[in-house]
Amino acid sequence: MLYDKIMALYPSLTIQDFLTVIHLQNDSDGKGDYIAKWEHPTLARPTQEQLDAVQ
Amino acid sequence: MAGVPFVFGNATTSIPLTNLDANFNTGLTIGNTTVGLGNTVTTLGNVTLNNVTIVSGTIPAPTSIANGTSNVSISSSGGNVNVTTAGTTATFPQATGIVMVSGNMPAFSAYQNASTTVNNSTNTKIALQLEEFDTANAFDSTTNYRFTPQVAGYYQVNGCVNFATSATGFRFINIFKNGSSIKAGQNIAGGAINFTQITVSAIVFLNGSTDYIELYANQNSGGSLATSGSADVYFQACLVRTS
Repeated sequence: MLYDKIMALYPSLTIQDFLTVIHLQNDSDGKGDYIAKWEHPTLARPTQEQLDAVQ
Repeated sequence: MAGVPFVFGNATTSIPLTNLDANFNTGLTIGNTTVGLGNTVTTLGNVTLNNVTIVSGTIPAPTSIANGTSNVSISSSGGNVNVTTAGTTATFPQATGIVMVSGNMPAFSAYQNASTTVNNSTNTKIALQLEEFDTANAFDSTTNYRFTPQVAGYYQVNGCVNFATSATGFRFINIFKNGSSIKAGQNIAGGAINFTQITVSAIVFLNGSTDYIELYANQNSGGSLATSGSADVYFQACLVRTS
């Protein structure tokens, strides 16, 4: 899942981060999870290539 | 009678002259009112007219309208409207706006047929495929699972999600308006053998054209969790006041 891929890229992220500065979302439309909001003060929003590279 | 002016050219019923005295001092009785022939303005009472056509002029607003057969009367006082039936009066205060009746007050209640899987830390729209009622056909239960009423106003919104058992993390549900969370409910994990049920309730303004609301859920158990129980996962709204 998207959460696991992001955590693999940024292990320092916390549960609180995902409640405040990072929002993942799934609209139940068959398109899967996506990043709806990324406002982390220091970590850059991961690119699709970075996410796809995570096993 | 020769020389006495009499013109009844507009009368549809002839009036026998024997009903009039030689000096025209006798009035005509219409309803309960005696009409003097010399009067220019006379108010009639207890008159029933049938098949009347008004070709010109203005009828002044009555202060009371009564229907004798059904014992209903409508009157006004100080800007208020009073409706009396069988001796009981209901007063409608002076106000502007649209009178709301059941026919123009949207309401819906939908619940899940198949569970929705909520991934860890991911706001996930709850799919609600079954409708208990949807009076204005304003809830989409097939594609977007959203409520888009066409009457502007303030809606009471209720949401409930039941998560499968897990002892870890928190559970959240959110009312989304136009794609963003506006109200939320939260609970801790129910435990390894207990479901976790969360409710959210709010009054939300919807503009009656483009505004829509949806139900989302989130959790951080560390893995995926499914919603559970058809009757325990629902979304409802009804209009409580127009804009």
